[in-house]
Amino acid sequence: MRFSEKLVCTILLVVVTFFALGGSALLYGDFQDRLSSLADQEQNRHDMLCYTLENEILSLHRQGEAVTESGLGSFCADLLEPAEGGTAQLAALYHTDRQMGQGAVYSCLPAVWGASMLPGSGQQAILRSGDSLWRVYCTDLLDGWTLYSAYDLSEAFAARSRSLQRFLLLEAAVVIGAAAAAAIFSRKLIRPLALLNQASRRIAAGDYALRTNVRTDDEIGQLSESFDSMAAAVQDKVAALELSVQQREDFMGAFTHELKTPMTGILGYADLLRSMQPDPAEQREAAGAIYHEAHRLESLSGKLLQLLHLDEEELALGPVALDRAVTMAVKAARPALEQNGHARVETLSTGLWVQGDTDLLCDLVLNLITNAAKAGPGGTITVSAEQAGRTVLLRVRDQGCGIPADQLARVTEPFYMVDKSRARKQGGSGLGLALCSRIAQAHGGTLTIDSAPGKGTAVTVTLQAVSKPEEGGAS
Amino acid sequence: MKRNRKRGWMLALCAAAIVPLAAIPLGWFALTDAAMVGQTHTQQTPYTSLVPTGDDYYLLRQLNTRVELAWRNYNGQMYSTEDGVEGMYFSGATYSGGMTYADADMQQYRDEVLQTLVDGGVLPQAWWDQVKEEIDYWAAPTYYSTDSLGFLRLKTYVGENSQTCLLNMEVDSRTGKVVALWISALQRHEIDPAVALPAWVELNELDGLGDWTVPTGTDYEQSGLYSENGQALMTCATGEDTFSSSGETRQFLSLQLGPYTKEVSG
Amino acid sequence: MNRILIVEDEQTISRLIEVSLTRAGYACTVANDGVKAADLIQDNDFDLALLDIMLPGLDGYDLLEYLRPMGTPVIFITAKSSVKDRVRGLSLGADDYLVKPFEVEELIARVEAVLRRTGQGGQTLTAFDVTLDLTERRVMRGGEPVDLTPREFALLEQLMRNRGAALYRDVLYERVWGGEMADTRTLDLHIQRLRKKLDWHDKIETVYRVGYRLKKE
Repeated sequence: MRFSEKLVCTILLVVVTFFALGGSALLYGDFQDRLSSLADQEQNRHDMLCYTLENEILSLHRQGEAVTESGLGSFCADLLEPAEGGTAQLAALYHTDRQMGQGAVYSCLPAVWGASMLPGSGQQAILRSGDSLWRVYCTDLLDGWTLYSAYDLSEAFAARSRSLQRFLLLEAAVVIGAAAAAAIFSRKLIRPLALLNQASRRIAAGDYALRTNVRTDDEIGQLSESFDSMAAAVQDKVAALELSVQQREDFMGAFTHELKTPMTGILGYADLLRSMQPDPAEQREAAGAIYHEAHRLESLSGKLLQLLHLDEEELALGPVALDRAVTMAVKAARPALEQNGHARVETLSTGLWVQGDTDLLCDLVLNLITNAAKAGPGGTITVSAEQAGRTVLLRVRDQGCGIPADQLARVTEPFYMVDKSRARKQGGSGLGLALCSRIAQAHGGTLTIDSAPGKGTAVTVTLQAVSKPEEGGAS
Repeated sequence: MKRNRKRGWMLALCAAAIVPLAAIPLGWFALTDAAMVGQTHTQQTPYTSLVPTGDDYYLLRQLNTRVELAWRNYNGQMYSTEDGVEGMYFSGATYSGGMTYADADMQQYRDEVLQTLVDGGVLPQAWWDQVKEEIDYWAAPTYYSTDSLGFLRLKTYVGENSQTCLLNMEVDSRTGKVVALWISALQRHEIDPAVALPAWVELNELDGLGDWTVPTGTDYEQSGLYSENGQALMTCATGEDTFSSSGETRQFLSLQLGPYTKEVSG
Repeated sequence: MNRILIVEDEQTISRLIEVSLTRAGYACTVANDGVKAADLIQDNDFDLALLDIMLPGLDGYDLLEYLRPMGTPVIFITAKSSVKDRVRGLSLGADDYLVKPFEVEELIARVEAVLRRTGQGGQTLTAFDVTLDLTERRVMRGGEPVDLTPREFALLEQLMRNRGAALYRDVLYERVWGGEMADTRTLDLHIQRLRKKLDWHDKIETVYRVGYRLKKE
């Protein structure tokens, strides 16, 4: 059963119940009023009858005439003879001590009214005769006479029936009207819910960008709001999930490419060497290719392992003398510098201490210097550091070719290479900056790159500054 | 499918509930009618019967008038009727010399009246037999007189010029109702006032006054019946006849109906 | 001789393919990025293109659209091995799809298959007075047909495809018969029969401790 139908049914039941009860009370009250006003008239007529009869009896006594049954009987008949303007009247006269059944002096009461049904003196009762109802009054008169008179109530009941008929018609109209009004009202009330339902279904089916947008200032509005914020949360989560899946796929794609390319080279050249005896030049080329590709694989796997390692393990960070790490890195970078046109490295001694891991920081600086060396042969590479509040800004600047602005955001992605062929030639794996970025993150810092094509690149890493530890402490 | 069916059921149920609810007035009236019919109630303003007075009864009115006129007569006043007719009240003679000798018809009338009293349970049969026997024994003559209001007095003596009166009776000549009876006999018989007096009330059609009661606390406690409405007293007494001037001891029975007020009796 | 365009940004790979296909008797042109490849396509008429998908500049899919109107068959060479990528490449109109790492033998077989299928091939190998018709699987010597068994035919094909190179016995056996070489007698016997049938007693040289070599002209 739909909610709106439940609402309509409930409203209708309530309306009908109260209307019917109220109407009944009203009609009943009216009817009682009518009966009691009729009762006044009837009582008057009954009293008049009693008075007339007693007067007749007394007048007979006064004249010394005998009071005979036949005389009183015919007197009663004469009294009731003229059909008066009011309701029909019946009467009966009995001897008080000779009760019903032993014959009345006069009676036009219906025979169905037995002695036990008739009221006693000073009482009244409503009795049924056929289709009509009569109110019967009884009074004991002088000289042991008992007078009954009955008055037709049919008109009152008929009037009530007419009122009831009108009321039922009115009630039907009210029910129909109430049903229509309730239907319209509940539809209007339910509409936001239906919208909400529709929207939530579509969201559940995957349309996460959809919002219910039901704006009412009641609970439904609040529900809609909650639902919208839930949908927003779900959308964010799904987007994050999709992004992560996308990143993973990208990573896997790049990774397979980086892995399979050297393997293809190695396989191909090894097959060549295995299957025939080529001339010495070819032989040397093949061997060289195999060596380089294997070397590439080795470097790739090393960096990859380091990257995975960073992802998996919590680092134990301690105070590190920045100068020492930089010095070590520069020493280690010498072969790379020599390969790339003997670039010069300028380091500025700062005496700063940072929170970190010496080996990782050394790797970080080494990678940055190597990258810088590859960027522009023969230039000067500057490694500097400065403290800004609680952070230390470590900067490696070169005067190389720079990175195009549109690719700046992507260079820290694993396997991303600005110039693939040049990177290959220089034995790059595309993981260097990704690794640096991860090391910076592992130190609770960030890595930002500023670059202008043709002028040079500056990579800035933020690290947490610490004060120089006491002598004899950790180095 | 199943849900639709359930929904249909619910809607049908709702409609089925609305119809009887809408018909509440019908049920209401059916119930109240059933409760109303045959139920007996006290009337709101019950009719109070007229309270009759002595004047409402011809016999008492005659008696009252007689008392009043006799009193006026004594003062030598004329009486006037409602019609403006004025005249004197002439009472009938009470001694045999002033009365008319009654013929057989009158004697038969006397017997019929007495027989009516006996049949009405007022006069015990024994008393009637006793009187009858003594009348027949003496062949007692009867005299009568009437007054101007129409009261007939019948007197039966033991003999002509005898002072011993066997029977003295006053009857309203128009209605034939006895207002006084005096019987003198050699033998006393039982009469119960508690039976005789109500019977006499009924015979005289005075029961309409409705308040004939024993006047407790008065001299008539044993032998009287008093009506406040009618201002009338009925008495019934027996005793030794000390009024007759004969040698033997006689017994009497007296039935008397007359106007009476408490002030007077007091 | 079929002209083949090799588009591959990895120089090691492009060089390997170039060497292998040249030896197998194809004329190769190498392009190391998409833009250069597009220029080459515009200026030359190739019988087949080997395309890497991930290329700097224009990628393999872009180049495919360049090549489709010219009717040049295309084989994709890529590290992307997922079915999705394969279907995408093939549905765009690539004729075949080769996943890295691949073996040179397989590459050559695919190239031949595609050429044959597109009717560009009907390739024949020629050495001295002998012509090897790969399509008809027939050998002619000085216009006269020579009757060869399938093994002899395969052996001859190997020798002709690697002219001037001394082929190791075990590799030859592996390529013609398949599997490990049980004894050298079978291979030696077939070589003798070939020499005899083609009258190539001095053309097929025995290289000491290595195997056999077809002399260059």
